[in-house]
Amino acid sequence: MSQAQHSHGQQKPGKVAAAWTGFMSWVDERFPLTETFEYHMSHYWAPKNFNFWYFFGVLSMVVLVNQLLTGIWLTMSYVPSGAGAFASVEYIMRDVEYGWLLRYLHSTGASAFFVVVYLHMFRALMYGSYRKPRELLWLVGMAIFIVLMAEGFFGYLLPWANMSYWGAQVIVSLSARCRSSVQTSWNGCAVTSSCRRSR
Amino acid sequence: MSHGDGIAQPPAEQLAGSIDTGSINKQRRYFLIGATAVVGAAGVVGAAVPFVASWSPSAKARALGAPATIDISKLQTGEMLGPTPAWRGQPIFVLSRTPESVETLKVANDNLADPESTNPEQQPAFAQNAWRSLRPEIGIYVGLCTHLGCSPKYYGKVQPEPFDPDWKGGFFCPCHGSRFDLAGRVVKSVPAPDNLPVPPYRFVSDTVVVIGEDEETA
Repeated sequence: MSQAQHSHGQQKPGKVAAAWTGFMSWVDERFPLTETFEYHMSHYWAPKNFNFWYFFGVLSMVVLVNQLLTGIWLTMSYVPSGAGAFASVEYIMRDVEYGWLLRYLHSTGASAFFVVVYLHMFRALMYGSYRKPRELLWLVGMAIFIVLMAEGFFGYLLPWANMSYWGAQVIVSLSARCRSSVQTSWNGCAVTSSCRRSR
Repeated sequence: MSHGDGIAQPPAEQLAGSIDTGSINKQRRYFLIGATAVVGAAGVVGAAVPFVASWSPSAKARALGAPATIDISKLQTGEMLGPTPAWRGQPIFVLSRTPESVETLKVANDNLADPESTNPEQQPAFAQNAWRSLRPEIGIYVGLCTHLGCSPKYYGKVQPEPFDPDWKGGFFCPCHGSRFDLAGRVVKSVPAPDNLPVPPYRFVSDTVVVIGEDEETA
């Protein structure tokens, strides 16, 4: 099938097109890039009666890319210490060019991530996408969902303002409650960066 | 699209057949592909604007690069003030040369790699002279070795030194042995490739110098 595509592309070889085809066949000889792209994206055939409930999987990928890009850019100006974190977030919001936009894209994107993932899960419930033989698909999705919640929580901590602090207090207490017979992981300390270091 | 929903792919021969049928309007297809690519590229460029702009210097960075004032009233002849972390956080050397040293610098010296200071990157136009400075007796340099950025040491006295028995005064970099004369000009056959940089500067009075702006940019 890729063979047919190939000859089709060569019917009208402009200079740029020829160079591109040459480059892609060089890559494809060494790594099945075209095949992989077609299998997962461009020739990923889906029934034409899919409705909008099926969009949210790919939308979660869009939000993921947004979170990765804006997150990496925010780390360029963020100071990861208990003393410097809040000031550096203020710095991002006021001083860094478009820093406010990058941070709002990131924080709103985190909320958007949960919105699209919940709609994605609702679709799975509604259409029985978890039923045999797709049980593992549902379980893996649940595992990714827990990772997403953990990631969202840790991101929420980063400004290290009051909401972050008390959020951390509550979530840490949650884990202590679950294993109350064991000494809490915080040695009775308040949640601070020096407490983290002292352990 | 949800992965793993078990959507079967149509048979390959059916796909291949649909590509080769004559019913495809190729002109329209090329137009649509081209238009999609153009709009997509415009979108990527637009989305890249905030990401690239965030790399430009913030107000904090610009404040660090603001001109800095150095008071040289206590500088003794033959001595050096600094290194003062001044302009852009770079160490600034301010030295006061003796009249003899000023004369020595004027004499042609074929030990130097670039005695005429021909690289315009290394000094403003006003410093392209034998002293590489505004005033012959006051030399102002960025105190970073042009080899790997160590801070060279000031050896101002005309006396034999372990690294040069015929030393006329200047700078010696302890990292890899680069040497510079009292005008920051690099000696031949040392690792450093260039003369010490001269920052833009101007005198606001006899004893106060502003680093970071000169008569042209002020």
